[in-house]
Amino acid sequence: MRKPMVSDKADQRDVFQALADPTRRAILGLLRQGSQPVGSIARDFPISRPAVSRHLRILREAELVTEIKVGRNRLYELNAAPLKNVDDWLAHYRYMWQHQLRNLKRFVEQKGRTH
Amino acid sequence: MNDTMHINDTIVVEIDIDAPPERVFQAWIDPRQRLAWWGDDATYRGTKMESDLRVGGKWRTEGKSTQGKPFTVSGQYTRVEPPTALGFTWNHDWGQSGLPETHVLIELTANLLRHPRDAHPLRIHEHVRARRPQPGMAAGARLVALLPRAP
Repeated sequence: MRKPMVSDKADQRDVFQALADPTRRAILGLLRQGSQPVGSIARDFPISRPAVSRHLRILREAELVTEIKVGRNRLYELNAAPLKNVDDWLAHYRYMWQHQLRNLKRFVEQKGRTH
Repeated sequence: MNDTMHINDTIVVEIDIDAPPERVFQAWIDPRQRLAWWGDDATYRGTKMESDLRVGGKWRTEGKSTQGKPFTVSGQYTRVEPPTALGFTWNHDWGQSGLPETHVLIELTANLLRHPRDAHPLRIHEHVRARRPQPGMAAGARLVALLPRAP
């Protein structure tokens, strides 16, 4: 189990790269409804099954999905833990931009009054 | 679970500013003005800015934190449409290295809901759709300044 906080540069990049692709994001959205085998995931997308498998491999490497064996079937299950990295990162940006826009507002409004 | 699974690729930050769009735009693009408000004494200060203001042109800001730690931020302009839109890529050298480049879009929009005499203007809560990320850009920021309606 990976630590939820950002700890490893390579891992972090994997998560961002994995999420950068709209199809992979859609796959994660689908798996949110429950674990599924690759065949049933592939039916929901206009791309080939090997293409879906490639996306699943990237998601697995980023630990966003895990493969579980149920009898003869292999199911793909969502693992949301690495998304905490993304949340932390976005929170940092949000805070920074809020802060900067307040500075900008103060600056231009003051400037207006002195004219 | 709901929150963590909601993959936002765009941060949207809005603010009401009581100034004409031209002035706000100038405060962004004029290096001298930008350094005057970029950060503050409590956090960090910009010390130098280079800017080639055209689509594809590069920009770069240097600064120091209050603890004296230097930083740089740089990128390339993607939209230059005074006085309503400014887009640029964003790479900073603090925090983790290897983070993806992001895209920042600043939109200066008239606040149509604002009452002309209202000292505390209303804020437009417009629904903003997350834009699809461009390749290699896992996230971006959309900054919206709501300005008085043009006369």
